[in-house]
Amino acid sequence: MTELAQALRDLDEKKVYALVDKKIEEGTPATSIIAECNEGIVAVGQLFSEQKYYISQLIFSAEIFKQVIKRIEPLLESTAAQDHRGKVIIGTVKGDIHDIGKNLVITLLRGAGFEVIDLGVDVPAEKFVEAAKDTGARVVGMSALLNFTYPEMKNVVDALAAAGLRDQVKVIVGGAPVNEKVRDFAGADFYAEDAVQGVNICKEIYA
Amino acid sequence: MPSTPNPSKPTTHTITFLPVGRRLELESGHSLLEAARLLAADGSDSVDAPCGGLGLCGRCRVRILEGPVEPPTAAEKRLLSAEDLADGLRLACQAVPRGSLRVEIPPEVLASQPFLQVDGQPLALEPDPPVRRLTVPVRPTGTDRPLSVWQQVERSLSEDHGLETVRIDPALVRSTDPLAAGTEVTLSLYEDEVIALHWTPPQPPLGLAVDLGTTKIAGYLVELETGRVRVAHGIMNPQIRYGEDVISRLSHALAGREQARTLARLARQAIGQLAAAMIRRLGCSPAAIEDTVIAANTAMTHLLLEWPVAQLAQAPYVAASTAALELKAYELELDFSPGSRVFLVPGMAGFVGGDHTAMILGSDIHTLDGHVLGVDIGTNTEIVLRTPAGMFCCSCASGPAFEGAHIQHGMRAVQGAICRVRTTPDNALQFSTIGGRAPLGLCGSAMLDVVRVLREQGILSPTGILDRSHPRVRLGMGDSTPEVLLVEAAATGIGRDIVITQRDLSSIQLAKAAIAAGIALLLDRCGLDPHALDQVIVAGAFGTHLDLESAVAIGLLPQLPPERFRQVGNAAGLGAQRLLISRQERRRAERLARSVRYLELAAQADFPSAFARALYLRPMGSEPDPD
Repeated sequence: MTELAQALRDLDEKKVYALVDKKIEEGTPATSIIAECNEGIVAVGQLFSEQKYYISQLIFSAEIFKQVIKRIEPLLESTAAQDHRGKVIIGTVKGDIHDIGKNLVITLLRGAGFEVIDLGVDVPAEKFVEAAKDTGARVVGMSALLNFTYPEMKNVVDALAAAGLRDQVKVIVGGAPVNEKVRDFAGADFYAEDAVQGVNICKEIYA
Repeated sequence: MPSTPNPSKPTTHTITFLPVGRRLELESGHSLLEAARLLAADGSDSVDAPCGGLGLCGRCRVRILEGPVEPPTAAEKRLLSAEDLADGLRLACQAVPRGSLRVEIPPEVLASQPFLQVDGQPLALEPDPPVRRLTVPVRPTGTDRPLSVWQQVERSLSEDHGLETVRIDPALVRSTDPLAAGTEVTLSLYEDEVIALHWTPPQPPLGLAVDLGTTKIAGYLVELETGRVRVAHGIMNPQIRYGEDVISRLSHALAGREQARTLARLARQAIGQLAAAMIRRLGCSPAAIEDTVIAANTAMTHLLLEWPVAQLAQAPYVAASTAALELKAYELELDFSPGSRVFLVPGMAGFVGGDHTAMILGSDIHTLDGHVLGVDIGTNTEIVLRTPAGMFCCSCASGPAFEGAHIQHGMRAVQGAICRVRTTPDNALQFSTIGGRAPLGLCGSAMLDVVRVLREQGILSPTGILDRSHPRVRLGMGDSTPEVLLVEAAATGIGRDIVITQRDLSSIQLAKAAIAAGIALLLDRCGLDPHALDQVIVAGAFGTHLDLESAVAIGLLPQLPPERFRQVGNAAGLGAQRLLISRQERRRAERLARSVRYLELAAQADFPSAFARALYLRPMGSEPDPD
């Protein structure tokens, strides 16, 4: 594991930024900085699944990664279009404006090389449909923190079906109150218990 | 996996008692009352069983929330109705568990230690209550004077006392003999309406101030003419069985009319029971309560009144109404003085309710100069910032961690809870418990102390990670989660080690960050630095008993000299008392509620980053700067 990956794994924010700044100065390509950070994020996910880290550490890692991306964004823009693993549409469903969980998943997905289309929060069903149509993404992810938004998740799945897109996309649902029953109720394809699992499901879909 | 009976070691069932939140092991074949006695033996609140568990009095009613129980006994069928049984009610002395159970002790059965902090400061306020007393002559009705009691009252009030308009509560007329005779009668009036009639000279009028919280309900019986608090008492909010936080309660109410009805009834009954318990101590009946003020958060108000809640439960969290409200006590099924009123304190926004208005009044924030921050910490934490340019508020979903929920050895601030943690010069931990008993678990203030001590001793990183190479850190929970031993089993009152786990630390971080991020954003939006604060007022039971040094060290509260902090107790309850005895305060409350500007945190684009930074267990403002 590289020094940068370790620093991210240990959530040593100052060290991460110092290392990233140094790498930028040295002319290290943005993609390899991201690759190193990915390694760190994967290690955080691993510690999370081993119950050594909990949600607060995941949020820290997402925040640090977000700041790293901010630093290297100028470099990314100058690099040619990248090879993406695939496109993923994600949003917090209508009636809910919580996005910490969703943003965590986005960070992990981007880290894993996915192109993420972030629809934001309080997203109506037609926005999901539109995005699926326009981007040709094969994955739609929905997040919720409030448990009365389940019917809204079903609405999105139904709307995708009504638009004839149900065979094109796999639907993943996640969020604190969501479980296998909710997945079944909403008619989604997958339930992701946590952010890391959500990313793994996306990897399988695009494998 | 089914457990195999072992002749040398009898099987046990885990019994979880709500709302005390304690778990214990009960040998199979024993009744729930035995379990409750084990509970009482280590100083916890328990079940009241006046007949001693003989199945005679029917008093030890508990509700089975989950798990298998032997069928009802003959005694239970005699003492409980079919509806009671269908509702899950059983007699603790009769019910024998067949497996692990979750059991609720209803508030009226809870043999409680006086555990709620209902202390506040005296009311520095000239009483000007809307309820007053007048005495008028009443003569026997006859052919020469064909006038009923009420007709005579009306005439005297207008002619002798100069009332321009006179109203008489219809329920009062219904329950009074129109031809009753005497020489004079004392009336209680609410503005121009007669709400009670006394044939014998009555005690000075009493009022009830209620702080209706998500977790606790605090009540105060106050003399309306003097403002003197006669009795203070608190109970748990019985709605808790439908969820610990506001959102799960609202979800339950959304499930149907019947569910909404149940939640309303539980809150109303609880207020009635609280009032009855207090008034009994004065040797009076609830009919002696002649005015009531309820300060509640917006969700509790909606549930109490069966208002529409769907829009309150979803973004952007809109309250049906936040206006002040005046209704008759009987509309809330309260058997107080027949025509008496209930004043509901006006609120400000979806998650900033009348309790916050009352808190501002109760702690005088609106009258202070300079920059003042008010923080009322609870399951939902409200923050108000007073600046010379106006007042601003926000609401934080801090959750019930500081009340003990989701913390392995967490508990409420009741007897036996560790409330303070200190270190000796040789780095050993020292504990104080409420009531000086053997420790049962940690309450919120001890959680802050533990985090601070672990940080000071270098066992815990600023990001909340336990150092697994430190000798004091071990692996618990199936050998996976790091934890630190706080009290060895032998020294506790629960017979197991009291520990703090990596998961607990994360829950504490999340609760702390919700509050700290709210403070940071509110200050930022007003262009203020924390050091610009002249005063920080910390309200609520937890806020009052927390150790300021610990709260500042881990970044829950701004890093300021101790003299700028004021811990004020249940300020919302105090505000409700002021409203009870002063018409002027009621008008002020309405103006205040309308003038405070609300900041919706979740709609702030930088909230996620502010929240992430607030997770740091460092003094506020010393987090690493990403730029």
